[in-house]
Amino acid sequence: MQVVGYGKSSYAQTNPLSTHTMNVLQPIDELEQWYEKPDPWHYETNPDDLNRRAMLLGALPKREYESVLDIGCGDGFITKRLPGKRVMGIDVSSNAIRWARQNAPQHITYEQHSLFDIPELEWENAFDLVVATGVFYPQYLAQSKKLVYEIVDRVLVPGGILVSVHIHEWYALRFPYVTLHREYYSYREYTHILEVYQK
Amino acid sequence: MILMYHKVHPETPTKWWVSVDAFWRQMEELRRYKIVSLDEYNPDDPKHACITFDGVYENVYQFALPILRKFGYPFELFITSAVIGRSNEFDQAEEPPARFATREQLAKCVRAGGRLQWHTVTHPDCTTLDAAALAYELTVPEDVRELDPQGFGWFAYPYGKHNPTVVDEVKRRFRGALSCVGGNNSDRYQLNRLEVTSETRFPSSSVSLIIANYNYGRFAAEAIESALHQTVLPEEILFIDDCSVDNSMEIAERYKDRIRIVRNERNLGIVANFNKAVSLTNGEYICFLGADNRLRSDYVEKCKLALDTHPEAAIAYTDVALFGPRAEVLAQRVGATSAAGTADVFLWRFVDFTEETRRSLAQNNFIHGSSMYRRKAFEQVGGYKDSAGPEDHHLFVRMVNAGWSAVHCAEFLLEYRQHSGDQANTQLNAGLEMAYWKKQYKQLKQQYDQLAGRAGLSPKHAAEKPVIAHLLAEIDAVLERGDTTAALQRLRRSFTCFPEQAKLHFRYFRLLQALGRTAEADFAFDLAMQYDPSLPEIHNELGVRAFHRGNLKLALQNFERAVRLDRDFLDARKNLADLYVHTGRPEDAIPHLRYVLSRSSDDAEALLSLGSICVSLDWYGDAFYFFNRVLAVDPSNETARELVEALQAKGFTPVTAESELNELLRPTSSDRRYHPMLTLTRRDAHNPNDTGEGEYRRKLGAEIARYAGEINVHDLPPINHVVNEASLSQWLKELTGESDIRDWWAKEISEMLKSRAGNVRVLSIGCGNGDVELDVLARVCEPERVQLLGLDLNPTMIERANALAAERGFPQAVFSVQDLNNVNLSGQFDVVLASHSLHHIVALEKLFAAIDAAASEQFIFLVNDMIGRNGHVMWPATSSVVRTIWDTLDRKYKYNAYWKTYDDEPMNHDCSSEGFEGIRAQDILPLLIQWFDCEMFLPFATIINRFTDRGYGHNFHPDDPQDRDLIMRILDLDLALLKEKKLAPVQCLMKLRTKGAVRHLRYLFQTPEEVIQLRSREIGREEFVWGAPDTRRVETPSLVTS
Repeated sequence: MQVVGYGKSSYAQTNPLSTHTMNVLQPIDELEQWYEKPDPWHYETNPDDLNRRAMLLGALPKREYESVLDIGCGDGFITKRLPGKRVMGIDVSSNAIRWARQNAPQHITYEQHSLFDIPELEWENAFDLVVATGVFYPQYLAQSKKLVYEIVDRVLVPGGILVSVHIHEWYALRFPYVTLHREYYSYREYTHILEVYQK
Repeated sequence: MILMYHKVHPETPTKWWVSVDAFWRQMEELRRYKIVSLDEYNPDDPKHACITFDGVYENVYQFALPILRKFGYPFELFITSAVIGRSNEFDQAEEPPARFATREQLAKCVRAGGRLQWHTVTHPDCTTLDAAALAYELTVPEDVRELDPQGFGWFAYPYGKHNPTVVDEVKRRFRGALSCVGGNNSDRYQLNRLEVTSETRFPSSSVSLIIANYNYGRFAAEAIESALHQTVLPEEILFIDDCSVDNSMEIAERYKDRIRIVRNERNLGIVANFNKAVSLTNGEYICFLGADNRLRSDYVEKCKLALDTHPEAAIAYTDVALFGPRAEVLAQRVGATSAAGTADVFLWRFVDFTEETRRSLAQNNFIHGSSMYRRKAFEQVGGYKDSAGPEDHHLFVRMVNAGWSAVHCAEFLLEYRQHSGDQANTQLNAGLEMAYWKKQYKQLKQQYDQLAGRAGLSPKHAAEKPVIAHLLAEIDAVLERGDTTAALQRLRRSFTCFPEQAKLHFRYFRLLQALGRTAEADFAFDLAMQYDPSLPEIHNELGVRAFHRGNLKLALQNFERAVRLDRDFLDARKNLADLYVHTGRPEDAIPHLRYVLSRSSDDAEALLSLGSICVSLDWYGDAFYFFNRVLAVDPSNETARELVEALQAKGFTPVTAESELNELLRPTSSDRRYHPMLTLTRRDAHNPNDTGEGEYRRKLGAEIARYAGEINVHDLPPINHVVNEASLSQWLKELTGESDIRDWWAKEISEMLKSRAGNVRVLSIGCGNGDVELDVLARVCEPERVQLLGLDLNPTMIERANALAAERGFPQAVFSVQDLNNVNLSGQFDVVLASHSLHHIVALEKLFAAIDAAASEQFIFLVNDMIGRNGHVMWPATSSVVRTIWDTLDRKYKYNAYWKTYDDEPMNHDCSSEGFEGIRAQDILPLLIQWFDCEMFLPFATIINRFTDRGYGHNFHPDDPQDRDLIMRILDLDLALLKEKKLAPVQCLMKLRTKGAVRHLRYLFQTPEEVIQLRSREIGREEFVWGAPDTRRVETPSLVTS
């Protein structure tokens, strides 16, 4: 099931990080279009993106993770480096999932789902680490911030870890968990906020 | 109340769509109601509420269901069977496309607590149907009924429309039916429903969140953000600042469109401040958040719910997550456990509120100060009150004693920072700062680019540091208008944004220097140097300074460095060239001057220098050429004219064309004209006091003139008495048993008299009127055994002192005129007194040597003097504290009695520039402990003097409670800074003996060594490679003694 976007405005094709309207979802077609080519935002070669991945991995509490979920995994830029016995990456774009599946190791599964599909998937308490990078933005959530808390809460085991990495200027969430770590650092022309929570 | 929803979705294209966030909020608000199924619904119970959906759309399944499940509410789904699993083609004209839920989704809804009800087969207007058609529409097909065997007891009229016939038919088949607005609230078959939109709110208690701040500017943004990100937003957020002296207000103002900000004009202290804050708010529930702490995002949601559902409770308290660099320290003490096995966050759980814990609350506090409480209870027990323990604990105990209970929200909803004074914990805040400034920067850059675009400039012009360039350009524009005050203000304001931009500090320095405010200028220069030692302008400046000090090697290094750092820095090139000429290397100067001319072909200074070089190299024709060019550029240049005439007189002929010039001199690309932007001249103003004999005489004259007319030189503004009583007197008493300096000195002399036979010889250095000395004498036990010699520079004063001695009947007191820089002592002395005199003396070393040589066996040296920076200028750190306070002061406190002005900035004038006031103040302490041993040391006054001195002291009236209160607060801070060794004192009392005669030092606050160390750390220049500590004054004695 897809979330249908009713937004009339189309997003700038040249810059995925372009400004956005608060209450309108980005049409799924645009995302699919983006992911017609691999690594559309040049994560693999941009030092800022390599840095943000290193920051995220460095901030993870050191423990054995059984089952890990990466929400909005794209083509797996972060996912493929996550620890954990089993790793699941989901993204709303089927093209992204197609790229992600290429050369994916055994323990990593990629599936095409929207964030809002999660309640249907019966993943209650299925993960002890949930990672979300660059997904909790208004163009993907519109006016449904609070449902996101509920969705994440549903899949994360008690005591589990949630890591969120987002562009500070666009990110309006604070999860109702114990904040283990919060950090701001430069990312491209923005500031990133990196949060580590424990449920 | 029966609620009617249609669609729930992240987007809200029409009013039939309720946003997911609004739906969540409404469900939260409904916690104050009893959510019942339709079968249980009692229309007469105002607390009953039913949730119904018509349609039913897939988005209800997708977005509303997870939320309903979270809240555990029953809900009713009125389905139209013909559209199950289809889209809403039928009302496409008005509505965006939306699919209806499938059978499978409906079944899942039922499993999650939903009840299916009937909304016809095809959604017709039932009042238009014949009997058969009506019967068809009212009949639930079997395959639909099996989706919810217990459902379909209720019916909803399509469009809410019904008539008696339809109602009769419905009664035969259903237990009840719902309309929209055409029904009423009592007929079970025509119940009205409330049509819910995103804007609908259900009445709920209101919360006032108060962020209490005092000097927590570095954390305040985190606290405010935590309040603004609450899942349930408080009705009001009040930021109350209890008169902070840090950047708190600046931080808070950034959020002023979302929070209310109140600043106390005076520091009220916790009790008055908290009570004031509560009185400014209206919420039924109140909670305080310290500006150094944070709320978890569900704090308000959970605490509010707890109070809503526990009317007997006055307080909702939570568990606490400890964070910050010292979290572990507290965690160990209270037994909090670490979260996620890290050492960063610790979880501190509290006990539930039971009869047993209630009884122990007074002894064992388990309700933290950021608990949410009822205004009603607060008012009932009279609010916060002064108490021995924490005020909030006191308040809560009184509430509980008044019969209220408390409720424990067993989650870690308060994030409680454990910090020390160090820097580590500001890291996070620094990140937020960075985010804020990046945003500002982007806006500014955008504006700038637009401006540049409009002006036809390439945005590249703004390339590296656009904001700084932009600021400097603005300041230049202001300067060009001649408005130096505005330029100073603009610069100062820019420091709050860019505190570490050396360029800005350097520009500030230039400006102050141009205005003759040398002491402040020096401070600005120090800062520029600290923040960017590689700024070319700084090296040029250091080069000039070194040159004037005669350190040519250092000058050379600095000029060369300046030119290397910025090849187009023409002033530095000219300085470098001049230095080469000065050191006999004219050839090395030529390329630099040629470079200058290639950029600025009419630079008269460069032309003149080249001409002079040519003369020194005997290239007279070439010299002629350059001097002529100078005259062409500047016909009034006397030097050039004289030189041209001299050359002509000697019969030399000029070369007339560049091609005839000596190879070395010929320009390479003279066509590249370049006009440097406004630079505030080549620097040589720092002419270090021109320490010739004439200068000394001038100062001497000024000094004598200044004091000749003053009868009472000790006359300080009356507020000083208040300050002294509250500080110095008490400390002196602690150390000596006397609270008055004269009593102390009399006591010292008396003790010496008692300890031996014969006379005691007392010398007073810089006795002035002699009134202090005669007062001391009058308090001594046997004054007739004291032989007093008083020395002073000023003949008028000495005359007056002798008259006073005669008048008071102390013939053994003799006062005589001596230049203390050239003191000549005969015989031995037992006691030497120096009261506010050493800071007028240049030849301290010579004086101390003389005193040491004249010391008797029992010798003591009693000093009361100023030991701050030369010229009584404030040390940089002191100045920054004083400025911070200054910014918070009312205008009436800024009147400068010296200059008859209201000062935007506290005066920081170098007093030594006119006479000898403070001429070597900063050398006094180090030299004293170098020559003598210190037995008692009482340092005092870090910042207070700036407010109580002759300039501003009169603004504070000892009888005005507000003035007194203000000065006492400054004094408190002064003492804290002194005790914490944050700032160096500028005054001290000392008792010294000859070297080796002291066994141990008695002191308060700081030892002499600590003072010296603190100062050297503060000014930070001693370590600086190029820099010289204020050596200019230390060098002067040679001139005096010669």
